[in-house]
This record gives sequence, C-alpha cells and structure tokens, in this order.
Amino acid sequence: MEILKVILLAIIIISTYFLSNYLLAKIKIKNGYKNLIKITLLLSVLYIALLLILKINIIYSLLIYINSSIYALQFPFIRRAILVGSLVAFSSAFLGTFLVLKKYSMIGDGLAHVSFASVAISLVLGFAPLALSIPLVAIASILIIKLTEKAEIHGDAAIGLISSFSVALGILIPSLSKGLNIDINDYLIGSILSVTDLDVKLSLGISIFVLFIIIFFYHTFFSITFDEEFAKVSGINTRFINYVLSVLTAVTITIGISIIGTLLISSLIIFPTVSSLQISKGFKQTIIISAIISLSSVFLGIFSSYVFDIPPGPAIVMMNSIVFIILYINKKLKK
Amino acid sequence: MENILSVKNLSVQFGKYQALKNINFDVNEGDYISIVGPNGAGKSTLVKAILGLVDISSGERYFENKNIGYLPQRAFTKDSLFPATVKEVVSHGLLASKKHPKMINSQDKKNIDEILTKLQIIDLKDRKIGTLSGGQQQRVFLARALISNPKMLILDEPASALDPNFRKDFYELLKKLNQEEHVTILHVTHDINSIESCQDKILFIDREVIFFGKYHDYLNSSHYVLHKH
Repeated sequence: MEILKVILLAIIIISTYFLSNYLLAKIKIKNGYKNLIKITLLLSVLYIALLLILKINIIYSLLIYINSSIYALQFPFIRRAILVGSLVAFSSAFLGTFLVLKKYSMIGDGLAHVSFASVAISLVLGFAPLALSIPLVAIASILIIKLTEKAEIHGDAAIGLISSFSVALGILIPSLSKGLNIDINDYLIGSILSVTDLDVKLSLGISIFVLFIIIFFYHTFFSITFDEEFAKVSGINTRFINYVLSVLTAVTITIGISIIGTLLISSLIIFPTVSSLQISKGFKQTIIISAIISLSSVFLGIFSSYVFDIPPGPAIVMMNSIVFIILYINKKLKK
Repeated sequence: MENILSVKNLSVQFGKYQALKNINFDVNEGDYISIVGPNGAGKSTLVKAILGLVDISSGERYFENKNIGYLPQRAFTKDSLFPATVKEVVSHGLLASKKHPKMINSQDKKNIDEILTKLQIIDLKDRKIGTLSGGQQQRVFLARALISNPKMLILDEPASALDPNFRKDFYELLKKLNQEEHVTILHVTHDINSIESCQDKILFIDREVIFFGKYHDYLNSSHYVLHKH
C-alpha cells in the first residue's frame, strides 16, 4: 500500500509539472516569472498530496493554519513583527542582489556580528538597542570597506577580523557588567515578541529611505555591480556609491536583528537573491523575484513562528532554504 | 581638423616604478590611432590614465569633448552567471549622459534597438550576457560604447580574445565607424595587421613615446624593424 501511495504522489507531481508547462506556454509572460508560478504550483500540490498521504485532514489543517494566522494578526506584537519583517525583507532583497553579485555578501554576515556587539553595549548602557546600533554598525561598514580598499588587508580577512572582534566584545561586555540582567539571547536568534513600537517607527522610516535610495540610484547601483571600471569612466563616483551600499546594508541588517537575530540575519541578504538567480533572466527580474521570495518567506516564517511556537529567525531561514532547494533542483533538471 | 584630445607631459608612477614618462600627443577629429608597443610598455596604463582610471603623477590630458565610448580589454564579464540581459548591458552605456534617476525612456529603447540592429545582434536582445560567445559579447560591449554617440572611441585590445575570423569582422566594423561616421578611434592593439590604411596614425610607446605619426612613415622608419623583431 505504501508503494502505491508513493507512486500516486509521483504521478500527481509529474502530471502537475507537465500540465503547468502546457498551460504556462499559452500565457505571455517572461520565462523567469513562469518558473516562479510553476514552482509555487508544484509546491502547493506537493503539500496537499503529502497531507493526504499522511492522512491528515487537509482542509482542517489548512484552516487551522490560516485561522491561527488570522487570529495572530489581532495581537499588536504580531502586527509589528509582520510590518518590520516585511520592510526588512523587501529592503534586504533589493540590497542583496547588488551585494551577492558584487561578491560582497559576507559583509552582511560581518555586520550582523557587529550588530550583536552594539546591541550588548546599548543594553548595558540602557539605550534602546536600535538607536545606538544603527550608527555603530554603519561606521563599522565604512571601516570594512576602507580596510578592503587600502588593500592592506584582504577583503574577507577584514570582515573576519571585525566580526570576531565584535562577537568577543558582545559577550565580554555583559559578563563584565555583573548585576545586570540582560537577555542577549533574544538578539541572537530573534523573537517576534521583542519588536517594540520604537523599532516599528525606526524601521518604517529607514526602510522607506532605503527603498527610495535604491529606486532613485537603481541604474547607478547596476552600473557599479556589473562593471565598476566602466561606471567610473561614465563619471560615477564608485567609491561613494560603494559606501552608500554598505551603509544601507548596515542599517537594514540592524533593523532586522530583533526579529531574525544576529546569527541568521545575513540569510535575508543572501538566500532570496541566490534563489532568484536560479530562474531569473535579467537584472531587474532578479530583484523582483528575490523580493517576492523574501516577502513570502518572512510572512510564512512569522506565522509559522506563532502557530508552531518556534523562533521566527530559523523558521524564515527554513522557508528560504526550501525555496532555494526547489529552484536549484528545477534548474538542474532542465539541464 | 579639430583637436579632440591633448596629452601633455603625462607621467604615471606606481610606487618606485615609472610606468609612463612624459607622454605627448594630440588626437584630431576623425583620427584612427593605433597604440602599439611591447608587453609591459604601458599601453593599457596610458589608456587608463587618459580615462581617469589611474592617477596621473604629473602632466595633464585635456578633452575637447568628454563624450567618450570605452571598450575595455576584458569586457567579457568574469561572472558568466551574471543575470544581465543584452538590453540592460547596452542601456548601461547611456548613464553618463543622464541625470538621476537616470530613467530609460522610450526613445532610449528605440536607440538601443537601432544600435543592436546595426551591429547585427538584435536577436540576442533578451539573452543573458554570460550565455553569448566571445565575439557576440564583444559586439554587445561595442554597442554599449556606441549608444551615447561618442565623438571618440577608446579600445584596449578588444579583439585579443576573439578568433581570427571574428577579429577581421571586428576591425572592419571599426574602420567603417571611423570612415563613415567619423568616430575618432584610439585603439590599443598587439596586432599590427589591424592597421590597414597608411593614413592611419600609429603611436609606438615603450614607457615613453618612441614614434608618433602616419603608419606610412612608421613603415619606413627604423622603429618598424625594431618592432618586427
């Protein structure tokens, strides 16, 4: 009987694959988007088929999930987490495309570690973590670029230096200031409960600023990502634009740490872009698809965090990983 | 003929190493100048100094018109997975002339189609740049250099990666641009065979100017014998 079920599942998946290919061939949209639709369709069919085979009442379980998610929305902390999460997801997907293609993605990881130290410092000094972290991480981002630029230290080594120093600092400071009860763990793996009203206001303002800068300077960012030398010849101040990119990344990462945590925040920069690159056909399309992937992962991750009572950061990263694996296999199968 | 670029006593120093010493030459409108010289002579450094990609230690260069198209040595993107379409790459060439937010309008799109048609790569418009052959890519980068209707085109060994057939086509294309559209061309090359017309000028450098003048005169000079060996 078990084998029959597996065969049935395979038949369902394969027929969905061919049926979606057939139907999508008739619609006039770009190939990258077609792939995205096809994969979403396959995923939903796989999910339903699995629930059927595991004899879970799908309608019931889906309803529970949707119902709890809607129910969750009535809590202010969930609404705050969703709002801040989606703003960060959107900005980091935009920035991630430039960073990954410039081979700067590890900067995200390094800056996340810096934000860990800055959060520890602000908690000890009694500041709101974001208010102090944003300028501190921004300064660190400029320092990383400066160290790399002078070529006195290799780029990846410069990031390694700053990030390990910051982690050490982040652990030392709270342990030196005895008597203070600081829960730095929330900032390591993130929590939907830790988003404050101030975080919401700050992240709203900053995300809008980041998005505005990216849209306004889109062609300039494209230029320095694709061919920095040519950008320079075209009269673009490439050095300044690199600083801008790095500061925007620092700021976006810092907003995200309360939900996703310092350990995992860099995944928001890297995953959506790398997934999107598996199917996209152009630069603009890469950005749009990675924003869609990033937003949906954050939504599903935060709702799952509430429904299954798990931390949101790992849930979001898991969603991103599933999307990447599927898109990667899809690409390999095509070859 | 109008002067388009003057290079006066230009020197470039990298630490203790003198890469270029007191380079002097003038470029007039409609010139086709081939820059030749042995390996390590500073040909690419000269081009980069003219374009402002390398710091000049002394001397100056003066442009009559800043509208320059540039085709680098390794125009081929190092990253074959880079998700840029031919259209996006070519539109990149328009940025210098635009103010922020540097939007691409419908007239620009028409111009892009036109230049792609002219270079016979219109069919590749929506292809990813990394999936094209070396010859096709070089045409795309030429389109990027030409899209802003430059007065002068600066090329740094653009054909070195191409196979001989493509190379011949490419040189013919440059010739046509120079003769029919009066684009001034400054061409760093290893390949002396690319110089066909004796009216073309040649700039032979080896860290300093060894010879500058018409190809015809160069053939009769002692430097030609030197270069051949």
